[in-house]
Amino acid sequence: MSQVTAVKTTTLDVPLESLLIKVLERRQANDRLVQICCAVIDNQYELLYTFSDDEAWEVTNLKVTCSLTAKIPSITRIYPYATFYENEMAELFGVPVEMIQNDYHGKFYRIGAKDPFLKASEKAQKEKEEEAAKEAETKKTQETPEEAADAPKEPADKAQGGAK
Amino acid sequence: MDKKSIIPFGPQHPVLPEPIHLDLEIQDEKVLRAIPNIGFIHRGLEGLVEKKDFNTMVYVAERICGICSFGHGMAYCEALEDVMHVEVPERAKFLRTIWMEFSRLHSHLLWLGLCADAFGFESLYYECWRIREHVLDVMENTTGGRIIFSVNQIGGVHRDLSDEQVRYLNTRLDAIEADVKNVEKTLFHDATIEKRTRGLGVLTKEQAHDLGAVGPFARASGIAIDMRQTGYEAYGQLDFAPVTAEDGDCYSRIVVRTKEIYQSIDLIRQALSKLPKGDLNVPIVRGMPKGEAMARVEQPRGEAIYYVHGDGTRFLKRFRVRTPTFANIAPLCHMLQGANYADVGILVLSIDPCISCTER
Repeated sequence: MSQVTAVKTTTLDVPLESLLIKVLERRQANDRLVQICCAVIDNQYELLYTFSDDEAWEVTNLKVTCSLTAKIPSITRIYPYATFYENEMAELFGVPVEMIQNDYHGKFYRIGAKDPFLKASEKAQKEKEEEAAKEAETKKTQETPEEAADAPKEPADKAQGGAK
Repeated sequence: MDKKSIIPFGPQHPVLPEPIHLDLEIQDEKVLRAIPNIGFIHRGLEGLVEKKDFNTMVYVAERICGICSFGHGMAYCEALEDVMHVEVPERAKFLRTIWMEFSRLHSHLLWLGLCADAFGFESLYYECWRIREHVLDVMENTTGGRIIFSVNQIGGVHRDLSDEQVRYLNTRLDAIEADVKNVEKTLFHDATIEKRTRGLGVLTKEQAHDLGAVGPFARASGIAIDMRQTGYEAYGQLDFAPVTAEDGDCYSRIVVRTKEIYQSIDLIRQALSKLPKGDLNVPIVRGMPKGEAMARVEQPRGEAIYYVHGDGTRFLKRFRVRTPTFANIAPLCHMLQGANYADVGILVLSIDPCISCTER
């Protein structure tokens, strides 16, 4: 009878800001990237990065939960072949992955509809979040002239170099 | 300086069974770079989880692809059984294993025929497909279908093998093995095949690992990984070892797949001899799938991943399939760099591409 290998599977919840570090750890452990899966659970993206240590039969899942507008860093600088997985989730789910090497810009599967795997309610939620983010950005830009108006003015003689 | 050209390969090409497009950057008949473009047969099957309940999705899963059909249905059921904590009866596990190995037999014979056709050896192509017809006859006799079997259900299978069918299978296996032995003489010793495939498209073991290659493509480069070693279904009770080769070229891929045909025949014989009596399935009497699970199986082309996420309703939140050809595209593009334009066809075919699976 051939040896039956029990596979040890570990799933780690990883904050978005630690994703690249955790992926680098997997690369340094010589793990193979098995797949990247995107799902929308409770109006949030749930990204599952699966790595396999084929010699030790260990699987590590890195689970990242983030909002529908969070910017996801690409891992293609660490695992170049992740480009296909990232392009797929960007096109099907509208996941905003930044700096993908070999970015197909939404033409990987050549689908006419935008974000076809997002439900109508999820698309509405995403648009709402994007609007809110835009408003927050606009507000931030608009504050600057007001701040300049509120700032204390210098005396006129001093401004002219103290000339009398 | 010689000019570079971009030559399109596919989506329509005589060697391609399914559409894939490669933009080949060529200089002096040498490929500098290959940029893949897919999406010609994307059907969005994974998105159907919104409309088809988890029981009916089995039929969608097994229609992802015709060649790997049984594996898709089986692995989908495995993932759901994991989520719902369903223990499949032993007889069902053995039956699934038998049909899975027949599926592998038919897939490898199909590929050997296409490979022979790719380098113009038509008589060998016909002979491989003639043998494959016997395998399809067996599948039709035992499941009712030649390509799409529809015997898997969550909890087991809904077809059985009678004692007469078991004897029939053993007889057919002897005939198939004898036919393959005849073909092997040509495959392994014909000078033209060796000339066209030896030393072609070499992928070293390190490159195969670094690029995420799976299945016979990786095993031909010396990576001895086979998901059947994890012992799912009845594989834990059968005796086998991964078939590997060391050279990592197209010839090694032919050798690995041919030897896997014999391995499949042996596995089926072992499973038939150990086939236990018992139920074919367990009824799912209560509960909806709630939670997530991932099944990893060895499809004919390599490791395939099936992820399901249920939220306690009859519609799954997510069903995701990562097929072996999807993983093998990156090493294929690497392998094409530096290759002659005339060899692109056989190189693409050497990974045994299944684009239906890749695009879903």
